[in-house]
Amino acid sequence: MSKMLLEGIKIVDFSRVIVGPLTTKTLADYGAEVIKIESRKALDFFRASGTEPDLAAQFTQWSTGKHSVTLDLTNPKGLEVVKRIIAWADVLVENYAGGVMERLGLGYEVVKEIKPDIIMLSSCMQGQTGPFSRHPGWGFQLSGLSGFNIVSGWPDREPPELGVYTDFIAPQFNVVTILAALLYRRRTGKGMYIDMSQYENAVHFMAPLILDYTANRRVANRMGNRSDYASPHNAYRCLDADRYCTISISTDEEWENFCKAIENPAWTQEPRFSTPAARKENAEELHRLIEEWTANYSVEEVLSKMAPAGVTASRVLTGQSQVEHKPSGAYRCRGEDRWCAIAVSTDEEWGSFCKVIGNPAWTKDTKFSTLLARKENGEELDRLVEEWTIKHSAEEVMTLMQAAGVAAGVLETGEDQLEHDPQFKHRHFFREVDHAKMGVHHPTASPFILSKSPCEVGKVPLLGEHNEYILTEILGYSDEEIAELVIEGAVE
Amino acid sequence: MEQKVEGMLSPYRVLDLADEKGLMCGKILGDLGADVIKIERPDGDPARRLGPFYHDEPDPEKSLFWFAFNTNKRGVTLDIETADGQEIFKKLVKSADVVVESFAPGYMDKIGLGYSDLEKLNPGIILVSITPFGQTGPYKDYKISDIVAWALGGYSYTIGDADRPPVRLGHPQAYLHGGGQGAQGAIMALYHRELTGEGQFVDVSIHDSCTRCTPERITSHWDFNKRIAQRGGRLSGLRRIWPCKDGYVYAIYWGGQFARRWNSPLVRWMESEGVATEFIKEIDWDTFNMMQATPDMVENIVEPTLKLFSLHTKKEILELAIKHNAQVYPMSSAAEIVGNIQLDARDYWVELEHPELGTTITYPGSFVKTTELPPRISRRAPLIGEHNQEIYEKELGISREKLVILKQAKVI
Repeated sequence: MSKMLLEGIKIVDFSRVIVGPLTTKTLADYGAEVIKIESRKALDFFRASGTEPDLAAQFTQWSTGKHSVTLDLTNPKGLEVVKRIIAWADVLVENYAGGVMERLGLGYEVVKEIKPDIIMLSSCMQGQTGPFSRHPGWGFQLSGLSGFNIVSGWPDREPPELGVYTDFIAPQFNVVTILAALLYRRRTGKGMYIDMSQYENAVHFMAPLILDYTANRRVANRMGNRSDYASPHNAYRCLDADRYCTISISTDEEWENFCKAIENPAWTQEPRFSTPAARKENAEELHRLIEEWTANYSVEEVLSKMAPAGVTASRVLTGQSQVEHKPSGAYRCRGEDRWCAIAVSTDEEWGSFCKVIGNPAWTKDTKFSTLLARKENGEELDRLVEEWTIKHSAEEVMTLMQAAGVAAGVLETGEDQLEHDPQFKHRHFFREVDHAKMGVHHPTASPFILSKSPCEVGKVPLLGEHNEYILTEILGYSDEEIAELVIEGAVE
Repeated sequence: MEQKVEGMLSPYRVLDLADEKGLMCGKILGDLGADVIKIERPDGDPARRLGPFYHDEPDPEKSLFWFAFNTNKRGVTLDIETADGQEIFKKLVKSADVVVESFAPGYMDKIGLGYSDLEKLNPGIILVSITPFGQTGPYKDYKISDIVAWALGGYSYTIGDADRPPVRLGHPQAYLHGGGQGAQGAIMALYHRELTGEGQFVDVSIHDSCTRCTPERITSHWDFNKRIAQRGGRLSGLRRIWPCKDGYVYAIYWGGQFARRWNSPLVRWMESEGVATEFIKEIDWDTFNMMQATPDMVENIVEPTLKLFSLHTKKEILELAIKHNAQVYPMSSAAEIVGNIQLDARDYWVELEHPELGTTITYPGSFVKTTELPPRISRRAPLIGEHNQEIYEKELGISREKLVILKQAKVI
């Protein structure tokens, strides 16, 4: 194995949820040794969202390649242990609300005393100073505060839910600043305190609209999928993808549960389905009747109705192709929405686009002959484009358009991204990692590939998995001392 | 014009050949103190054609998009396809640490300036290539635009209402993620070079960069539950985006173990304004199950909440939320961001002079505050060829006569 780029860089990680954890994951994936400070009394939000701390799906995405130690920081001895970890570290990362580290007795002044050349990064919502520094919140709200929701979505509707979008901006600025500080420390021997406001760095992703206001006093609004530079420019509905599930009914009890879940239609009471033997005899007819019901629902909906009723049902994994044969024994559900985005900017691209869709007569209409005309008649154009896309699979639309030099892309789902997208496979973007309790999962690797420095996505730690390693090997505590720390509750 | 101040990356020089797909990379490196030289085609970079424009005058010297992502850079013009242009570029490469480019995969190799060529001139050189899908693979020659990047990047699938097509994220964002990832790759490679002396090639995919944002909304649902996340769904059974007097605010009713801690402040706020109903006052958040709430119960939560927010403007809500310790935040417009008191209190905004426009423009300030060498934004974006003389004549020692010839030959 070649040497990892950040091998030897030691990070003590107090961070929670996404912003801090994605920052330290990025550094861990390039070889930094990260110790995540955890507590059973104050679990990471994602650990607390699972049925138990080690069965939290979301937690895995941001926690690869780290060590976990469980300490009670409100216990003076727990605080002593964490101070020894700080003395070991090159970098400290935290994203509590402003003021929390001071309250824990771990403000920069204290940390600097312990380790004078430490690089300490605080990455709260709105920075460590100012009237709003201590106000907690989430990426959901910060995306709104930073202006993203109000310029997203349809102009005639409320702004849309964007999720925790800004949580994926801040880690990028965190990583560049930590690395720049490490380079600076190499030159000068000096550490520093880094006060990162997620709000302040998110505004940089809004910069042109900010300048449009400061220079022109214009306030941008939502514009849906429209663009100033292109038309057609939208997400177009394509042919639905076939989707199937299996439903397994053996015993009479399962049959009754199933009938209840589908709200007891009259046919379920017929004698030809009343016993396992009868159902077996009339299996074909039964299959047809069940499918009449499943066809009204998506796979997700069918599964969500079966699970609470105690009926075993599962999704049948399908390939990307639309022409596959129906899996035997499976029930056809409602087809899945499929969409393809298309963006046509230049007249040349418009010519190529028309050719791909077979040059129908309407493409010659003066309503669509120039970019301005296409933008002016955008709604009608979208409708006409969709008349063509709806007859093709999303993959087919993308492939045909791209072959003609027109930008187009399938609206990918999680299934597309993890199972099918050949480019992700080629770049090895999703890695296969084995979790001790949840099995194989697929976190992301770095979006940039370095030709000489590998990116290796390591395992996700169980809660407190590395207590012994950290206390013994890194900090040099004796077995007796550790036993005492455990009894006193400093080590959880 | 104010000269650049020393920063953490001051020892390093960056040659920035990127168009809009990669401008953010050089911007970040420049804000951290690197000497970034933006190299444009003699007729100006194509990104200068992107709006919005200063006073709505479409002019390559008035693109606000260009202004936004080229602060702290110096600018020269150079046609790197001409023999003379290549000679000059190679001289610059010898003095540089990082080259950033966003041409189609293979272009730099084709014109003789690929990584293997640059490495011969300067073994420590780092080449950062920011492209739609990366340098190799089945999609490498696919075309991209912002809407396509978010489609293939997965994020769009769950945005928008169920009765409409998926919708993209705001105004263009995808390339900014490519640039942000490029900057991380560049500084990682610089770190590696400090340890080993060797440079390397950094291959950034905008597709991957957008998908770095999707695990929480998209991929983890499939990975662990084989579930396809749908748009228009409400995560907690209740709306989270609420109208107020002059726009919208974001407020979550949490379920489960977080409910008491985070919902109670909002209810107390309602009580203080006399809009809380008996129903909402009496909810035991520790046991209340949002997902099983009847429509009547939901209505009894929604109604007083709507009432509370309807009493106030976004600005008032921002401040009242702090007073009541409630996690309610307004959805700001650009104007409200510029007027935000927290940003003001932290001295965020920077005024940059644009003498040729006879004005100063307010810019987003440094993306971080540090106790050592804090980043400063001290220069507006360069004009076309603004630093030709400074760099070509003073630094590379090319005579003025030669520069006149190169200009006439459209090399610079």
